[in-house]
Amino acid sequence: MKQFLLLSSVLTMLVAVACSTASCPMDTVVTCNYSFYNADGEQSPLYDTLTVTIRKDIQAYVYRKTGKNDTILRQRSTALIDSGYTESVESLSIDTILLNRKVNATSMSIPMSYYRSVDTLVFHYGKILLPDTVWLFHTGYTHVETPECGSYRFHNLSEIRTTDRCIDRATIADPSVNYQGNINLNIYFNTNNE
Amino acid sequence: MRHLILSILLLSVSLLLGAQTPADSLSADSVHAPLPAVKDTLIVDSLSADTIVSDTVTAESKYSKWVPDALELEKKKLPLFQGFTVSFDVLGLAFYTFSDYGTFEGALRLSLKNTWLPIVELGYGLCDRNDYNTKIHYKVNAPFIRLGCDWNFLRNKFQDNRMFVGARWGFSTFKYDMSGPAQTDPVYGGTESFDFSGTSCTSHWLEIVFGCQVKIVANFHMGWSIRLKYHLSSSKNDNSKPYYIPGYGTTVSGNTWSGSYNLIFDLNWGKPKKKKQ
Repeated sequence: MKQFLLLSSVLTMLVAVACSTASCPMDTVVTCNYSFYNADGEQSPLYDTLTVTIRKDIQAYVYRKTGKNDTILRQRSTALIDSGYTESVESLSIDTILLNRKVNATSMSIPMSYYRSVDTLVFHYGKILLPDTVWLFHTGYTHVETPECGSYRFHNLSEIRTTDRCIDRATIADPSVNYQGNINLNIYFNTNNE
Repeated sequence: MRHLILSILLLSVSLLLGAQTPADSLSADSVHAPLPAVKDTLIVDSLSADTIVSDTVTAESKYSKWVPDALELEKKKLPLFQGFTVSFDVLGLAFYTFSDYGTFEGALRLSLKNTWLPIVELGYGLCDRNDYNTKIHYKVNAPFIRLGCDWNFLRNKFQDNRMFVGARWGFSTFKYDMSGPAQTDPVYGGTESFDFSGTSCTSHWLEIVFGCQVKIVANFHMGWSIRLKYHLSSSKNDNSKPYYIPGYGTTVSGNTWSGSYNLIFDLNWGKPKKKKQ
């Protein structure tokens, strides 16, 4: 009987340890994480304002009428058609801001495109008139931890290219872009912009 | 679920205590209970397969001193090979009937001196789950195997009931299908669904087992076990990991637990026959 009680106690503890809930990740935002350095390789803030934009193509509904300005909408409008406008569906390129005027930034996190193989980012500065362009080559893939947690889009970075107006160079620190928050890219800025 | 397991636990303990025949319950613990100081003919006919004791004794004086020594003595005389049992799990079938996953499994167990019980468990695990919230579908049908050994820790090895602890190593190699609804890129735009069909995976795990079995009638026994399972490894895949491993269960955490309720049949292949007085 003593053996039974001892084993029952041990077993109860083991079962209690085994009980747990689904381990869905707490932070589920998949972003590419950048860390900023000066040209000497020391971690340093960018002593400027930084705005990052992307150019993306959208499908838009364009309504035209003689004597009226063109009206461009994301969604179809039957009211305009009823008013005598002609409708056409066109692909337009628009700028979208991903980071807006961040001051003295030492790092940043930027989402990546799910289905493109190259992301083109434009870095706008406050003190430097002309922007830098960053081309990020990557492969995206779907990742499912468990059915309860949903699906995510992870990426593998393969290459980064930049212009050199303010950026000295850029390297890949960790090619795996996921929701674990690792630093993926190191951007080295010219130190004479301080 | 915990209430169900607790109910089964209590039911089985009561069965274990209640289903013993008077001769079965002649364990070393029970014989120390006060006995009536009367002279009687004591026939201990289930203690040993080989040695039958029949004597007229004073129960209190001779019986209480003799039995523990006799148990040890007879244990040494117990033949190594004590036969095979086959068993079938009904809890896995119940799970499959009332949930998204379950198993069909059976086991072949060897008894060595009714103390060490090497066992092979073979089964087929099934899972067909469609998550209500995420709309992700997961499906797998595959066999599995578990190898291990139990230790019957009841002191009286001559009775037909058993209470045991043991360990298992489990293995399954399988292919699973996972598919889901379209993923929409919130920034750049674009939509695509995904479908990972026939993803290959190999998994290993360890189990700690505690259980018991009681004799119901003749060669038929019933018993249960509860198992704590530790996932050792699974093949790596960038896209997904298996949600359900046949024979192991769901992988939502690093370890899991499960149970079984077994219908057990003694096979008398080559088992030494009991001598009759």
